[in-house]
Amino acid sequence: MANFNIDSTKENTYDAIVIGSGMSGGWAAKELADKGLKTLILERGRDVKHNVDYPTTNMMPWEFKHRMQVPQEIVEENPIVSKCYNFREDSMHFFVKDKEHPYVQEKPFDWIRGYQVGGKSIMWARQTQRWSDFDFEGPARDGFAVDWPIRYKDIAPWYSYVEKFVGIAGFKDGLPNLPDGEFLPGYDLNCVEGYFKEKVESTYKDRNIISARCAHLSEPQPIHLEQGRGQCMNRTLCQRGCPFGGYFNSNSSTIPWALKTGNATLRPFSVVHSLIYDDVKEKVTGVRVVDSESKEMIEYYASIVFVNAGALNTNLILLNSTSNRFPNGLGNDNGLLGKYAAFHNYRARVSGRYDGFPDTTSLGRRPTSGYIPRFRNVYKQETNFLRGYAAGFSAGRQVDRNYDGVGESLKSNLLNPEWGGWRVGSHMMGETIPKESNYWGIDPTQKDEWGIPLLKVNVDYDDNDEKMVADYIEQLTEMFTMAGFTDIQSNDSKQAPGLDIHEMGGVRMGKDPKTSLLDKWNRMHLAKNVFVTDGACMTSTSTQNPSLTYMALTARAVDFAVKEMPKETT
Amino acid sequence: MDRRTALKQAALFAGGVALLPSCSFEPERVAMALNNLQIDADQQDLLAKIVQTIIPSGEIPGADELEVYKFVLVMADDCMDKSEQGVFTSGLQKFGPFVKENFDKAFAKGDQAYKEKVLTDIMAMEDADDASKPGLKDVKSFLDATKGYTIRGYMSSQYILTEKFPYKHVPGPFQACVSTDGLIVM
Ligand SMILES: Cc1cc2nc3c(=O)[nH]c(=O)nc-3n(C[C@H](O)[C@H](O)[C@H](O)COP(=O)(O)OP(=O)(O)OC[C@H]3O[C@@H](n4cnc5c(N)ncnc54)[C@H](O)[C@@H]3O)c2cc1C
Ligand code: SF4
Repeated sequence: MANFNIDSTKENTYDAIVIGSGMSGGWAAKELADKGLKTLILERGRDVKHNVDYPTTNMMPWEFKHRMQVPQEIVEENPIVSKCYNFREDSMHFFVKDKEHPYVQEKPFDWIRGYQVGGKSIMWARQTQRWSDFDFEGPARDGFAVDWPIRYKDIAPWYSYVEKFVGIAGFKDGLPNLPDGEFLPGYDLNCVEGYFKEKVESTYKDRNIISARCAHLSEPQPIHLEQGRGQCMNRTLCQRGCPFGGYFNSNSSTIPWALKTGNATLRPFSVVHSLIYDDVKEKVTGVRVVDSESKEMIEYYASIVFVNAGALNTNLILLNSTSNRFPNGLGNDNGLLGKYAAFHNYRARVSGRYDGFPDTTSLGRRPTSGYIPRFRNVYKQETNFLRGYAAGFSAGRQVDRNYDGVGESLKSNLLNPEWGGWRVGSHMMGETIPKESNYWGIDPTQKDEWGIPLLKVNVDYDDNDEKMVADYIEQLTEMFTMAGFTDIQSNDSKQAPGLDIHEMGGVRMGKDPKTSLLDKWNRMHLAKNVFVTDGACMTSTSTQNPSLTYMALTARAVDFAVKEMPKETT
Repeated sequence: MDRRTALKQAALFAGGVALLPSCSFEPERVAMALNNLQIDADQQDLLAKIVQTIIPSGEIPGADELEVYKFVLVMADDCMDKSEQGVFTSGLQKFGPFVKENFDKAFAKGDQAYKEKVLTDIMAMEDADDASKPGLKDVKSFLDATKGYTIRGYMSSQYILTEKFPYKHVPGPFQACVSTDGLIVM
């Protein structure tokens, strides 16, 4: 009996465990396996194999029974996830349905999730902008949250490292507030976007329009071919999974790479319940997993654990990792675990028309759009709110179809459309300020079907966000007017936090164990073999789409864990 | 094989002949199997005629050849909420009597021009006239929804997206700014 136990312990022991196989977990797994560590990847969802498990990827529009619309019954059963623009007939199988994993909304929060190998990296919009020191120095300069323990120079080489492997299309724009990276050829702005760029850049000193950098292989390099990925063919059907591997997801890239080393083991259907803290050894020795199919609880052991379950689930796992030493959650002596949560404010849009360029259009499809880097409060505080917003910007030539009447005239109108004018549109991506009162917690009584407490979300906008929405609408309206756009409309959707799908914080990095949970290497101050490198680690949110930064932080943390940590402890 | 045929056969195999109502031995004329809507074969035929009137046949196939009424039914059945479905079925039920009441003759008895006139006239009526023309609101809502789905189903049909406005899965390189000269608008 004793022997059996020892054997099973040995069998379940690895050098490293990675919790979650999404955007950041995929990177942890790849890096750990590349460095020769026997790595166990625990994923709560099913396996999604690149190409094999993309059932809709080659379907023609007419093959979708409801032409991409989600049937009413599904909408009614899923009021939350149905709000996501990408939850459509072709990709809804990659999203978690509302009933599959309930949570408690103390305040409205739309939690959009993907539980499967690849996580949300399958459905993401592939926007990848670097941070700069204007972002990392934000909390220290403006006096909120805590100072980031790192600066741009610490992460810059890791941005490069990740970008080369992922493949990022973009232009070297030379902007101090949005540093250039390792780019494949970018996607040009179209005529009207280019015109707007000229107008804005000649009118305002610090405002720019660029082509947004995106994770697409516009010109694959040997490292991409080695991953089995190829040229992006501009289908823009990425949310279905791409048969060419033209965009980056964990399924086509990091996960198969990790498995190919022979050092990684992928275990789907494995819901991590908690981390095991050994009071005697004073460290984490492994994790408890509930097999989602058999409901059996199994323990796995390792000397390093990377928690990459996605920001909210990472918080949940750590809060649920209680022990004699840590009754309130792992490493949570200061009581800050789950607090200082934040997100991105995506509430407002401004749109309009443009009568210029009547003889031009663009041809084909493009997997990205225009981007306006943050221009508010960059160099100094200049408004009555803190921080600022970036914005998406795109223009498109409309086709006018006359839908009047019925019969032959209608048919003829439908089949003979005419060029319409250009439409222009923009959406805001605002920085929100992490506050102690915005938190993710666990419900004291209710549990999910795996015996894990329900996540409780208490996150809201504040006055700073309201002022920022108003300023965005005002500034974009001004810029559109200046450019001669007409019929300018603005809209504040008032959407709940969460729908931005950029949830961050709760396990923040910082210099001081009294005021933060993680050190500058994303390592828990009080559990030194545990690393958190997904959105949970973020001290502040900046305005840029965050996944590139998660990936860079992950690669950096693994490098430290494998190279530097052994030196430090000897 | 549609669902009812399948059920019937299953019943026969189970020796359940006695369970089948005798009328089921009449020539096969059943409506499409739907989940929510109660639509009989006659109503389905009427709907198909309305849909054909909205986009008639011609040199280029119309809604008839492309069986667009099936798409209209699928969308009404799966993508409308309960109250919209109520109005849709009620409008479809009331359509026949409404036409007889307010126009010269039954919808099906007229030619394409007559049918087009009926649809156009109804869609142009004011909701406020519902009092003097009972059923108008439902009939109008039903026609509006049917027209919307007809256009969508037709324009996204395989025929249109291969023959008329070819949909390219792989559209080729993106060209950011080109002249519209000589380009087919699509
Ligand atoms: C429609 C959409 C558009 C987006 N667009 C962009 C964009 O343009 N740019 C950008 O930067 N970001 C974008 N994002 C966000 C981006 O997808 C996330 O930031 C990113 O995927 C986060 O990576 P992650 O590893 O933290 O989490 P995920 O990718 O979500 O992966 C987490 C994984 O952990 C697993 N897991 C969770 N709990 C457990 C548990 N208890 N045990 C075991 N496994 C668990 C999950 O099943 C999942 O596979 C978008 C997201 C969506 C949905
Ligand atoms: S746009 Fe590129 S990456 Fe996206 S599906 Fe198409 S080929 Fe694949």
